[in-house]
Amino acid sequence: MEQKHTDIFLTALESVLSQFGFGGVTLNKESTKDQLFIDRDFTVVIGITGDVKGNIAYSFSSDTARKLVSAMMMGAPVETMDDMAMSAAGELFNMVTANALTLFEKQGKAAAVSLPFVLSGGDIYAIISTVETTALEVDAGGNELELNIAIEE
Amino acid sequence: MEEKLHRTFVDSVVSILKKTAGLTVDKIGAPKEAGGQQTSQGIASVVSFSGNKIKGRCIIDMEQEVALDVVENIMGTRYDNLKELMVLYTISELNNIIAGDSITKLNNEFGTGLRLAPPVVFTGRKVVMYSSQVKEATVDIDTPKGSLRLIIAWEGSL
Amino acid sequence: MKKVLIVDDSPMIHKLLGKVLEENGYTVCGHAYNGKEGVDKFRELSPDIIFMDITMPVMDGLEAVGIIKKEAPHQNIIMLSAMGDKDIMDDARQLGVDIFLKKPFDAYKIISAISKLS
Repeated sequence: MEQKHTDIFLTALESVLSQFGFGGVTLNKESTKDQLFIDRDFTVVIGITGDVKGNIAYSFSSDTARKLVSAMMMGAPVETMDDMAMSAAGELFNMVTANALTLFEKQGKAAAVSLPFVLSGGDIYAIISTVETTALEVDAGGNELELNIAIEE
Repeated sequence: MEEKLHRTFVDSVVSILKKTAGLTVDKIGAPKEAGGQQTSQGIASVVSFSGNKIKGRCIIDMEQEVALDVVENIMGTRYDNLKELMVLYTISELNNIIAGDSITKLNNEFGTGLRLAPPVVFTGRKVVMYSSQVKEATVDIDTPKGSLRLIIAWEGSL
Repeated sequence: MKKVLIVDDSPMIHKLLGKVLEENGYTVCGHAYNGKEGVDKFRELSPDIIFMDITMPVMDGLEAVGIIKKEAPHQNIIMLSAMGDKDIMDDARQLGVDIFLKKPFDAYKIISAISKLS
């Protein structure tokens, strides 16, 4: 049986984060949305084109961002989310998305990942698809993340 | 070649704003290789693309008054809030049409085989957009209703 | 009065195209927001003309046209898409699309396209 979209992204997230020393990924809540209201500090948006197409928005707090980026930089402390740190966060979720696409490829669906795009700010209203978006609230080694998955096949 | 890329998008923005919303352009700024951080002027939409030679994205960022005026001209209804669903949908479809127009021209001329991801649109309080490690050109466009900004980011070359 | 089915994932296009069609004496008999819904509505409503977008979720417009043309080779279909490069237009033509229009559109473009249909 084919793996569900949400499972594919959770598998990919766990696989990439484990390379940086983060423990298992636990799904806390799954819901569906038409419109996103983003109240976390940072969001990385990545577009996908091909047999699988859509957008994925990964949202997280500033605290989580610093921990993730620090882990990517071999434990170097990250005080502020400067351009370098933003770029690292974008790259991290680019890796997660690319990893997910290799899992789709095993189902015979070829797709390409576009450039990651990072945004921050308050009270953000966003639409990332005309299809329903699945929102996954996850815990990754004590860090909270939200994955908003809008995949159109 | 890079100039050709952003020129194509600028031409699409100007022609499609005119055709769809009757919005004329007073001044088109010179492309700036900005990169780094930029604060959204009000509402922004992003269309990502990828193909066999390049991948990237097209962001159109508008001041509130420009966006509300564009939506009113297209839809025939005046909205006063950028968070209205029809405002978000219209701005997002507008960018989809603009990016589709540019990508069509690039595919026909350069065989880039580009395909678009669905558009993303967002609005909020002091939204900062970050871009790094990619080539980027920002073009400021002034209209009688206010300003908008086109940001093209890409990797690879035509 | 001719019946038209609109298949597009953008609410903006439904509203604008619907207005143009109704102001010019056509009846919009159905709205579908992806290719699969488009095929279902085609079977249910037997429209005279279908306006079909390409890039849509669930099933894209080209796949939907393939299914429809197989069941009803003479169905009038006008493709209306933001993308219109040579490869896509060739694919559409091979599937039997009657007319290919690129977005954006105005009333003249829509009505003159319909007038070219048999």
